[in-house]
Amino acid sequence: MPALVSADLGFKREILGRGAPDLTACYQCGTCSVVCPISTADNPFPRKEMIWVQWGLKERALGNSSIWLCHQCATCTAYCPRDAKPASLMAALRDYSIQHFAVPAFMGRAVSDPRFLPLLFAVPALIFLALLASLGHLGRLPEGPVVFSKFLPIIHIEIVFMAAMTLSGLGALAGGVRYWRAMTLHMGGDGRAPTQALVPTVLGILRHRKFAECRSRPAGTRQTFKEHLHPTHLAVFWGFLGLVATTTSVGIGIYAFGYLTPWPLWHPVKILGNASGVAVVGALLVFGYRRVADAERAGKSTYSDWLFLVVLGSTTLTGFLCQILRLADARGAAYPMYVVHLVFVFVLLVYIPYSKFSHLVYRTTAMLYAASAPPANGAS
Amino acid sequence: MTQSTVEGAARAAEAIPSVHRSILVVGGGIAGITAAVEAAEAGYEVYIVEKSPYLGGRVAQLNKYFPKLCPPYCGLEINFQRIRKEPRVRFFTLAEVERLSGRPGRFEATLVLHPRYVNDRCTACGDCVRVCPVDRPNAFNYGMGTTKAIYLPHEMAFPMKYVIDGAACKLTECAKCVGTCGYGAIDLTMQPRTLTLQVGAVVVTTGWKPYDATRIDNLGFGTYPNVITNVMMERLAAPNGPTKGKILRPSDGKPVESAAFIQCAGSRDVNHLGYCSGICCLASLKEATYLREQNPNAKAHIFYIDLRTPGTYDFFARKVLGDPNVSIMKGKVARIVEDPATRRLTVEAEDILSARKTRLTVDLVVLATGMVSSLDGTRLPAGVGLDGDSFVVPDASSDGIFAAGCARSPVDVATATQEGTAAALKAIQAIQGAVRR
Repeated sequence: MPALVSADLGFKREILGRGAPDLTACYQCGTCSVVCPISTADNPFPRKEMIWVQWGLKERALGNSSIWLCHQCATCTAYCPRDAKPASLMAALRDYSIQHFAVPAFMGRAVSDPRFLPLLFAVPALIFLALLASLGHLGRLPEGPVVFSKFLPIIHIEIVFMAAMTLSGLGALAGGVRYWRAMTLHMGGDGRAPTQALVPTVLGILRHRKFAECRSRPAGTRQTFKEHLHPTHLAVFWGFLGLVATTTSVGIGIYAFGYLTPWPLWHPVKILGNASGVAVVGALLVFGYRRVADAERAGKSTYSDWLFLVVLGSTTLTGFLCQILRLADARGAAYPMYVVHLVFVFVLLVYIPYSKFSHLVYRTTAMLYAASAPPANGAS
Repeated sequence: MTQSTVEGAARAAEAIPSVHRSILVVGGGIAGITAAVEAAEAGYEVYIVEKSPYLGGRVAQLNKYFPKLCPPYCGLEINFQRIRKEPRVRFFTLAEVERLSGRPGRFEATLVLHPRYVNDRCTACGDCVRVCPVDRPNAFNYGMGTTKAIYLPHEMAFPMKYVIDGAACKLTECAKCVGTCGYGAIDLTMQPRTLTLQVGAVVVTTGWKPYDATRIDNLGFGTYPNVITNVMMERLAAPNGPTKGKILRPSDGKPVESAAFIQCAGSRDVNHLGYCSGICCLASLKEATYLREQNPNAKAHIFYIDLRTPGTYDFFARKVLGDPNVSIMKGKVARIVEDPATRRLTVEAEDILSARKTRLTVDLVVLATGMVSSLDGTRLPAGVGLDGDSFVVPDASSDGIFAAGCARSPVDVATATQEGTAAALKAIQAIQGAVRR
């Protein structure tokens, strides 16, 4: 039976504009799917994504696990006989899908559109300034050695973040569920058992198994300019987990044991935090340099790429600055820097479901879906 | 044009001494030979300049050629006969054009004649080969097997004369062959000579060379012995080839039970040749028949992006694809893995029509590599204009310089001969135009 398909050419134009202008050169030879070190036999990518976007088949392109299973090693781009840059298309599709599945939709728009950037920062800035005003600390810095909790008590910060992160978590959950449903609709998914696949999937992520495959299963000897991805992402990933572990440990120390901050530099948790921060900043410098140096062959960087990179980097750097200024006892600079740091933490974490950081939601969802059962009809 | 008017025109050209009525043909392949005999039979002196030691070019290296799947000597012998009988054709092998200048009716070409080290007294008896101590890769068989430093290019070579590979031979240090030759045909002191020709027009028929498959880094050519190219497959199937026409695996000499043909290997690819050579799909279909004719159980699998079999060649494609042991799959092979124990090869492609990645293990992989202009990477005589792929652009070339065959664009044999004839006529018209001026 011939099925009626609706072509959304606006979608195609949108994807072309998001860093994938060369995709129309594709002549569907499938080189990309074959040189891809991780695409599977029954759901190969990115060849089918290329024609889906050429034809404006938006729902099909977005309702497939492929776009998030791709780890952007760019081998496809290196071998593409038409220079159609399939890796850039996959990145553009991911960028678009974050906005597409965002709940509420306006948050998806706000984070992906540079015009809303001031607003994104204004929200946390106003929250923290209002908090300071209510405490009477606005313009009046605490006396004595720098102790950040004297300026903004930790419990106040906790309340702000608990409330915001609950909303953000609901948004992430809604986005993930919408994506799961879209995959079920377009790839088929009867009898899927995600619970059994959860542990192996998470272990695979922690070990960066797919990144390792991207690097260790080349089709030939051609340079892809993404060879750094595996170690660099491993560093930023574990560095970030280290920072999360540090913050959690500090929270437990304060509330469970009354062990108040600041903790001495030799404390193991403090050492973990500083080492993790160095790992994150170092990895981000590599990412940033590669984005500039290999822009031509490895793929064009978009607004959302840079936003994520800069916000994560600034969060870590302002954290370091707070610590340095506190140790230097520079009261006048340390307290304002602390507020700036909190604003960056807010922008980084609360907007997770709508920024490039949402790959932790969507990529995990796609990997879980793919691991749950072989797709019934991943084909076109 | 009837015979009498042509001859009359030729006499008229002769009557004006400032106009040379001869034609220089650069390249002695099928297009060049055709242009030469056509022009000569119309009454014009022709010089063929050929770089290799024999005439016949790439066609001589085929097993069978389109459109009628004749062995190459079917067509080449007829043309060699015409050359033998036609005193107006003179040819130089091991020769290259070093300089070219002038205008229609008045070209001057300087040739370099490289030493053959074997003179016209050679009877091709082969006694010299038995004493020669030096081996060299057999270029005629694309490096499959070796010849001695003194060798006959191939069994049916024209001219039927031995030749010494000056780069491999130790020349006067060894000289064992000189004493063995009963005809005094070997002269190891031969030196390169230059020769200046006055001609009225030039036809460029420099032909093609196969794309260097070692540059396709993901298809294993040069690393895996059982990955060969389509031109090598012609030699494997040819009765005068390295295996006497039996299609055997290069790794162990076992008969090939299954072969995968990979279309567009380095063609239509911005990383390699940007264009389609237009003949490789048919070459693979033809080579599938070589395998099928030898082995009733053998299987041939052709992986393609678009199967291009234009015009009446489509009948041939349909006939070959009617064989149940010949299968085709839309999808380009982009990964080849060798089993180091069996030397069998697993090729991987996405079957575009079912959107599944498919693997197939075969005895032999044939890369359908495309045609590169022979002028690519060479120093070019002035007046010959090339496009970005080193094919001759007639409009960008000087007046009186014409091109035919694969020097212009990748074409099949039939088209090359038609273009050869057309170029002969254009060359004649250029000379006649110069006479009238």
